Amino acid sequence: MKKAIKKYSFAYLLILPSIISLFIVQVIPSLQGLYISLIKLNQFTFKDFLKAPFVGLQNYFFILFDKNSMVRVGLLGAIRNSAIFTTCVITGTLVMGLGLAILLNQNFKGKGLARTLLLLPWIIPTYIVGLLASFMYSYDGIINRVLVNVLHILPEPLSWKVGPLTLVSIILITIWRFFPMTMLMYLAALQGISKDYYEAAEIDGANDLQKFWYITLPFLKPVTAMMILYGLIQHIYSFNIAAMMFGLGSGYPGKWGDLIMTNLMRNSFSLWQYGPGGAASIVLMVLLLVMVWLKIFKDSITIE
Amino acid sequence: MKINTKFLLVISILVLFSITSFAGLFFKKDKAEQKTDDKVTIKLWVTPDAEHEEDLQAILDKFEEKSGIKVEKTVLGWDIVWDKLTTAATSGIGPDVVEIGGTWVSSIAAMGVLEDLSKYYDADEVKSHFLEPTLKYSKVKGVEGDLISLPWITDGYLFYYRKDLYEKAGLDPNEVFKDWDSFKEGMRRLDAMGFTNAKGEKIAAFAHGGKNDWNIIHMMGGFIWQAGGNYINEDGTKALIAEEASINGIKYFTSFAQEGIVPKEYLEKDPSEIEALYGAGNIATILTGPWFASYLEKTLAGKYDSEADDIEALNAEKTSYKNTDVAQPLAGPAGRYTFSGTNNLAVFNFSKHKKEAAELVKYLTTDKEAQMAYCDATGLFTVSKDVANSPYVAENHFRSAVKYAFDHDYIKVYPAVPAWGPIETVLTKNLGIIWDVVSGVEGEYTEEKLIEKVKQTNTEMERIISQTGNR
Repeated sequence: MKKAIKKYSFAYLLILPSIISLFIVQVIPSLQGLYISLIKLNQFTFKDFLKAPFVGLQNYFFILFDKNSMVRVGLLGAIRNSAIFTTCVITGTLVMGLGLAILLNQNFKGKGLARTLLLLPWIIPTYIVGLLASFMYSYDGIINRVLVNVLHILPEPLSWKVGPLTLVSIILITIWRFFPMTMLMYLAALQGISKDYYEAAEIDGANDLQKFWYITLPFLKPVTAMMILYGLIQHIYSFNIAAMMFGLGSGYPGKWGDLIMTNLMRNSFSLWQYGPGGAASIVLMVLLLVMVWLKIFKDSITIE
Repeated sequence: MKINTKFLLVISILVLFSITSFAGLFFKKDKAEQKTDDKVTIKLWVTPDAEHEEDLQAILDKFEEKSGIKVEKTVLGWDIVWDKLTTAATSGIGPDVVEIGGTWVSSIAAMGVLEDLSKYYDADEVKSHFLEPTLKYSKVKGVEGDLISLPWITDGYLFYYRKDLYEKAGLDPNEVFKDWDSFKEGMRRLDAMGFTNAKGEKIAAFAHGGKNDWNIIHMMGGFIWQAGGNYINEDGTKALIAEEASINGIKYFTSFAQEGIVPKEYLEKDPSEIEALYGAGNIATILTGPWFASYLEKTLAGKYDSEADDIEALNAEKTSYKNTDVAQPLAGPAGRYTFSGTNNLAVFNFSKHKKEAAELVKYLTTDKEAQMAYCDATGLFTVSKDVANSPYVAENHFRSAVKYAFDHDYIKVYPAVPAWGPIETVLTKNLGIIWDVVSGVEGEYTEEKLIEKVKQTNTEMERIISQTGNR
């Protein structure tokens, strides 16, 4: 052990700054969050902050078993919405990212410009995307105007921000925001596949679909697995777009569009119930860890 | 030697990393310790109420001239103000004086971080300077101290309407704004007239936001009080929103949207969008605060001429504003009431210059000139009796209307109880959902559906009361 440490001492020294910063910005706040879930931290004890009375697992009992807990208001609906949202966004970004990556992997004039333009949604801050989406999805916003007045697809405008279409509107704009990263990852993976495989397949008489199915897709499996993992973690905690679209404190996405994080934020932290909020966050984190472990890491991410 | 080079490289990276990570802290400390002269420097945090920061700076400069106390102000955006306040409260590192929205005072005070200002001046004497309803948040139930904060600036929701359109429709505003029935009748008539603006778009007789309108709670509050109801009782121990009178107020206010007088698409708007649509000539009547009148007057005075990108839109706005008048709240079954919000000033009890901080608070809240200057800068209404009774208010039609509401006890505010903060959050959310029912998004509108939502709100409010009541 000592020998190994000595052997790789330079490598350890190089990663030391990252470990220190990870510890400061990730580990300490997470431990603090865990501790907050065990204390009675509300507006009356907030001044004492971490010195607030220790209540053990009381906050966990409160959110899990007390039917009067505010955290439970609309939580089941928010979990259902988050499940639909995460599934749709991951699927949408994978399909859109893969399709565009395949197109961008071809040789055509203006390829560089197309790549740059397609990366634009990724470099716009999420909260600005949320704000813009709020305007665009308005009853008299540009989306309805295009659908009704320009394309004549709809006879009258749709209520995107109110009612059952709320979740659809959040999903669509989130896919738009996040597809460039998937596209970029797929593009890099596609460029790493040797042309020899395709040439060999052509000699064997394989058509385009067969080449895609038996060569391209298997090679993209590790990237796909990583993107699913990334998407799961990213989108189950999705907050910014929904919060900005529905005006932060002024409104909320409604039962059709409420997500776990908007629900949690509103029903605990906005009500200054930090203890139960911390407990709910920890429960969510544990559930996600279990899910990630069972579904992703238990199977190896390798090309068969 | 080779290892030493590597070692040096890593050490350099570590040093660079540490410097960049902690640079902010060092600089902040330097700035905090900086003393320009021997004067005491008070740190003041304010929200962006003043249209231009230099307007407030001019007031603070005058204070420095008079008192010899220097004030260093920081303007905090509404989106970060709560985080900053709570961080200051927990860390004990923050400003000496802070501006707090009236409805937040109770919650911040409950944290035990606000200084009792009655230690620095005679509470009764100071209180005598203020319009009575604005003093609501100077004392908070369950919190020690007679003078936890002082009101700085206030408002009052009134109707602003297009008198030219009312005239064309043959409506007498005095009759229209008399009571609930006359207002409903007037709005129906205006709606039926089918007036259009310069672009040929129908002018809505009455409009307000809904789900995304953070002022809906305040508008709705007025109608609930007019009906004889309330959100919660004065002690903050019982939710009253599901009582019959409160439900009647909600039903009346929402009936305009339900009948289609308030266009469905406007229920998605926020307050500034609604005011902009009024300016664009799309709405005949809105319910809003005195900042709107101030903006209107400044626009008509040509203050924004040089900044306007769209001259046509500016002219349309001027036409709407030229024809705008103001009306008092409606008389409901229980009386004529409207909401008034107040922004207060408080001193943190960890301040090292509490006496000087208290002096600044007194100056900003009671000095006649400072009050008038800040009213001009913000478009809001004075909290000072002296200013309210001065020609500054009497000679201005719109300001006089707000004073009239204060003089006639039309103004009401929410109870000063620690539970109010979280309750306001719940109300804002749930009153937003109500518009889903009213606009038919949740299927055909029925009174039962509306009442069910109100009862659900009442249950959530009761839960908060029981949870926040438990220290």
